[in-house]
Amino acid sequence: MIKEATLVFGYNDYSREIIKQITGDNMPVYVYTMDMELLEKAEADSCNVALFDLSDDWDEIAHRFDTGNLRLFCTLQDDAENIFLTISLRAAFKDVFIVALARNQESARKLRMAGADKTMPILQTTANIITERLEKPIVMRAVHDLLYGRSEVMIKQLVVPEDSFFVGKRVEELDDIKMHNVIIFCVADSSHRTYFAVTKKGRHHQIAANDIIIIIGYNNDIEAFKLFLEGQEKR
Amino acid sequence: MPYRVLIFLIEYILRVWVCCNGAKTIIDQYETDEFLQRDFRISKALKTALVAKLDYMRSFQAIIDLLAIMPFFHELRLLRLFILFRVFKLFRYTQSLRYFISVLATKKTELFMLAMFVAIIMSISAVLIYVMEANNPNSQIDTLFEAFYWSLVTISTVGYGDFTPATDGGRAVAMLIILGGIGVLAFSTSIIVTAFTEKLDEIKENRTISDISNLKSFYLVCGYGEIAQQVCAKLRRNGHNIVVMDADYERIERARKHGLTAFHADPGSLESYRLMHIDLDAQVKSILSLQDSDVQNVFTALTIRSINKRAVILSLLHKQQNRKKLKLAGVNEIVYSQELIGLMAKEISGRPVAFEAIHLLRSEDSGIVAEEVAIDHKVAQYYDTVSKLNEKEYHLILIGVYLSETGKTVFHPDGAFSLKKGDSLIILGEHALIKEFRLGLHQKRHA
Repeated sequence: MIKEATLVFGYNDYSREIIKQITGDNMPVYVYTMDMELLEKAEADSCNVALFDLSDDWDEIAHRFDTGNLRLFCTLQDDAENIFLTISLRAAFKDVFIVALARNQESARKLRMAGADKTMPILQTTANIITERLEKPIVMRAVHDLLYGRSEVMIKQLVVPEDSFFVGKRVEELDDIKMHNVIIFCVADSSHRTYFAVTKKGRHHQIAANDIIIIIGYNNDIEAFKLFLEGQEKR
Repeated sequence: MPYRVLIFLIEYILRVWVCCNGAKTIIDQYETDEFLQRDFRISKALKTALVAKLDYMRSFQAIIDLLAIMPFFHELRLLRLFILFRVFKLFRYTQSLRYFISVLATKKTELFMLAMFVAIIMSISAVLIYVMEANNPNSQIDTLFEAFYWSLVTISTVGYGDFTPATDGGRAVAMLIILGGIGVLAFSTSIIVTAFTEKLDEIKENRTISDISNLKSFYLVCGYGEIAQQVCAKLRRNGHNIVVMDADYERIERARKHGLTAFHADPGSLESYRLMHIDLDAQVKSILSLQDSDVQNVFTALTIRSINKRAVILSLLHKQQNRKKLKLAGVNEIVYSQELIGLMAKEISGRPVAFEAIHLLRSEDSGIVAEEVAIDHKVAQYYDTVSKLNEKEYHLILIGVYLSETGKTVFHPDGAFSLKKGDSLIILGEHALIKEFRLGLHQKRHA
């Protein structure tokens, strides 16, 4: 049984880009397609590929993979089919992490209702990128450099351990602590509600164990901060 | 002399002055004389220029202008009637009236036929009513003029009632002419409506061109597909002017329904840009080529580049293998949605919470925004280092400084980092506080 894997359903321009980007994550990628022609194409592109249909028979996946550690990408071109695939996968596997591609916001909403953890609406994403490039080119470039690892500075999410020095502290109190040259961008609680450090609510948020702190900084500084957070380095 | 007269007089003199180019006439005369190897005579050139100006002064428009000024001279009180000429003068400037006349001119044959029909009906009915009524002592219609008058009043469906037929024959004529009048009214209305319907597209087009020429700056969006609709909606929400151009009439109609200025033309045709009368350098902020295929986008980019080298072109890329072609066509920025989705997928699967936070930030739904704050030379004089910014007072986070010289961003700079003119701060915080911070930078600078 394969412990960790990423399964990509569908083989098109979008799935090819997704495969290209996630291949370096040290997790094997498997492609599932409904079309024999696309299967041959994926094989020619050196992908691990198999056929599937929407008949609700997921035994092959259940036997082959540890479903507790699966990442699934539903990228079928047809939104209706993609929604059907998502709902089928969610019905079969409760704990898998499903990311689904949607044509627009309307389909994205339906996909979330069908059980997708995250959705990527193509139209809105592209339109947002275009308008940001026009209106805020510098911010946009900076955000992309951060997000997509194009600069030495990176964005990281760190979980607050139960015995951390941070537990019980309010976000605003962290200003007074030596912060290892990192920017605390926001904190997300266990239900993934986001508290930006610049808002009043965010500054007053009391950090709890298992909260996720999102920070921006250089790798060395982030590593130092991580040790500090985990209590391995005294302030 | 009242100031109104003075204004009109100055306007009239200026109009006469600019009606023909005197300098050009003199130069042309000089060049002709030189070409023919004869002595240049300035008097001849001046005479030609003067004749041109006199020709203008004798023109109908110029006479109306002059008469419109005259009523203010009290000695010529009778000429006050000419004050009405001001109305004509106003008409001369009215674009709509010109449209109206040009539209009616397209149906001049039909209107002429109708006028002839009315004239014939009127003449026949006037003669008939005169024959029927003139010899009857009870009748009010005694002269041919009264018969014509009655005929016109009846056929136009006005029907004052000051003259009415007294004989049965006269009433029979009246019935016929009333029916004729209804027909004339219906025909004339339908001719005018048809003329306007036929010219509707042209009228809309002219209005769009006029609207576009009045815009100081706008984004030119070529193609109004699904992505373009989203982009336009967002740009419009943020207060930008947009002009949409598409060869598909249905899409143009959709853009108009969405409240956009839209022009039905092929973005890949030079003629379209000529028709629109747009100044790509002065008016257009960026050109967005968001058409459905790379072929169309390459073609549009090349068309624009053939008339303007400096315009900023952003284009959609549909197939990765065409990226180089778009670059070669002169596109400045390429957006490849498949790549964006790929990068997004990586983020979502690797750092879902961080991604969600960034996504929330970009959507601006949380009220938190990342903004650029430009450092001009005056701000740079006062705030020469990061430590002087005091952004924390405004509960803002300085993410980084964009350096205009190198085009790079320095993330999380320390307090000693020096700021220069042209650099930009990348600030994170609540929109209102960023605005305050911006104001603060300038106010403190002035203080």
